[in-house]
Amino acid sequence: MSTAPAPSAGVPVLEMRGVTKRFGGLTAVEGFEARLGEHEVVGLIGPNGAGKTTVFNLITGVYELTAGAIAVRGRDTKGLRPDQITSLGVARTFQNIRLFRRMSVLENVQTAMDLRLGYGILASVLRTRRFREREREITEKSRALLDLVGLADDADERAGALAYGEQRRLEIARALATDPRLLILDEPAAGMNPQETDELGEMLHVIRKRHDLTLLLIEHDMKFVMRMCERIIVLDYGRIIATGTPAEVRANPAVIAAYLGDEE
Amino acid sequence: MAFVLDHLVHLSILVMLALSLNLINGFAGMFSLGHHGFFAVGAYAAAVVVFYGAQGSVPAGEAAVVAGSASSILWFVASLVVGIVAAGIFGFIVGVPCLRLRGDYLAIATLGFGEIVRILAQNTEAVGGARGMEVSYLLLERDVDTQNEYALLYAILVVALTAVTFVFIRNLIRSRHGRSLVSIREDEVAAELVGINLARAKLMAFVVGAAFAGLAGALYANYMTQIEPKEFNLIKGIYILLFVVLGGMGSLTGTIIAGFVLYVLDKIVLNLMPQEIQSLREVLFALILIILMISRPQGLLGHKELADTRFWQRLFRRQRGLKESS
Ligand SMILES: Nc1ncnc2c1ncn2[C@@H]1O[C@H](COP(=O)(O)OP(=O)(O)OP(=O)(O)O)[C@@H](O)[C@H]1O
Ligand SMILES: [Mg+2]
Repeated sequence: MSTAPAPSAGVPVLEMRGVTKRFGGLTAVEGFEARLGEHEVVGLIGPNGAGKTTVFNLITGVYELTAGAIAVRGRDTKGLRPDQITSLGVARTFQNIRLFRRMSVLENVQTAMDLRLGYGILASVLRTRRFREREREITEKSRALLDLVGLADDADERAGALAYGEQRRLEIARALATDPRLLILDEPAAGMNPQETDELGEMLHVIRKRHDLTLLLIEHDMKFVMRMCERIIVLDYGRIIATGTPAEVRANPAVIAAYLGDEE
Repeated sequence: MAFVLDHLVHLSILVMLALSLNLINGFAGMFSLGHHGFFAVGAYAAAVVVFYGAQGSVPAGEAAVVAGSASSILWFVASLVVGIVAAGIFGFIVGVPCLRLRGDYLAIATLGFGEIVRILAQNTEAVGGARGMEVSYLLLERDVDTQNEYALLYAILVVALTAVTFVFIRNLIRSRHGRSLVSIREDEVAAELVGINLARAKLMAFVVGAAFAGLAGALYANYMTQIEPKEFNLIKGIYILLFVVLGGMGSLTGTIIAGFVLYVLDKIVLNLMPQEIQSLREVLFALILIILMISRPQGLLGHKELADTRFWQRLFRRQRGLKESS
């Protein structure tokens, strides 16, 4: 599946240094640091409004950095458009599902393969052999991805008509279609029952192996995060208050305080 | 006979215009109100080619262009090509600032463009100012004897080119380009994050849409003896927008059906009405558009094509699955 060149050894898949984002007077993220190696699974947790989604928007280029630097597989993303950052090998899902609702399930995935379809307008209009071959190729790949997330039978369904859990899985298939090295998931288990959450966890493990991925995920379901992740970064009021293994983080007094504070 | 063919020519040109507008408004979801501006650019560009090229190159001593001669036909083709290219360039020029605009702002900016084109034409002596431009017939001599022949020839040409427009845009839509546009319409942020270059896709829609509007304009100019700036007003824009909105934003077959229905209502039914109602023609268009946008914004067919409707599938006993696997 992988068509991107293998990253040279030692270069982190994602490196963030001193990353800061201010919205007017509000500092959403300050001095964020992270270094993700190949195949790592890292969790990003923190109370509501801590700045987690903002970090994702900074990685993917939706927001511009106020200060700091982000590199994807050794390439500084400064000044790049979101679609260019995607082509470096970053894909994401959204906290509030953002599918192409009036397109079919299959088309949602096909659209995300645009980066590897090089044909031009004339090829489309004249239905050239190149056009037909490339389309057949990505249709097959798209169906394989739908199969992977258990949506093979819904390929011709309108994306907006899928059940909630299915929409979340379609977002994952669509993200995979861009052929990422780094997949970032914004609350993938939100709104799922315990059984669905378990299935999601298993699915992510399979996907990670098969697609050779590094995962960064935001999640409020602590059980899920603790089980999935090798390392956890805890954010509170835009600042990292702890990092470490699930056990370390769980025992960290600052983390407990932040979450208790959140409960009040 | 010539009466019917004459209507067919006008309807086809309007349908071509509306199909190209649907690419921008319906599929790409950019609500443009200035499509008649591209139509005007195409018409004027073609008229300039005919006037300064074909007529201008007539050797001194000879009276006028000889319609139907090899050189006249070449000039005719050249006028179409220039109409397409000129409108396409304007599509790019208008498209660039529109990349940053959304919704109402885009509608207003494009509306402004349409007005600017008309006012520019009105105040430019080289293109006849308010009087407009005379456009000689190049394809075939058109007099009492050849009236029918001319209408038939032109109708075949225009219908064929409208069919080409339809196939061109349909194929474009059913490809990565169409998927990109529709995905932008559905969710711009998500589209960009799966790797779609927003600027390129949107500009493509503007340039291709404008180019076909230019072709429609060039065909129109060559068909008429005279074009005037005031024909290219907002009412024209609203007229074709009605085709698109009534037929369904994002349905090409819907545009054609709606175009036919509206045109027949306008040219035939409205003509039978008392004068007082006829004089309200333009108000009626605007009113229908407003009512439609409020009550059924998805139009007749929504974003489906005719062949995807249940009606059609029942008619031809065709199953969805069969179509997919073929
Ligand atoms: N585009 C924006 N403009 C202004 N403020 C913003 C913007 N995006 C986020 N913020 C603010 O930045 C802060 C962090 O928001 P963010 O969405 O990153 O939090 P989060 O950790 O993802 O929270 P949640 O768990 O609720 O999703 C919040 O105070 C939020 O209001
Ligand atoms: Mg969030």
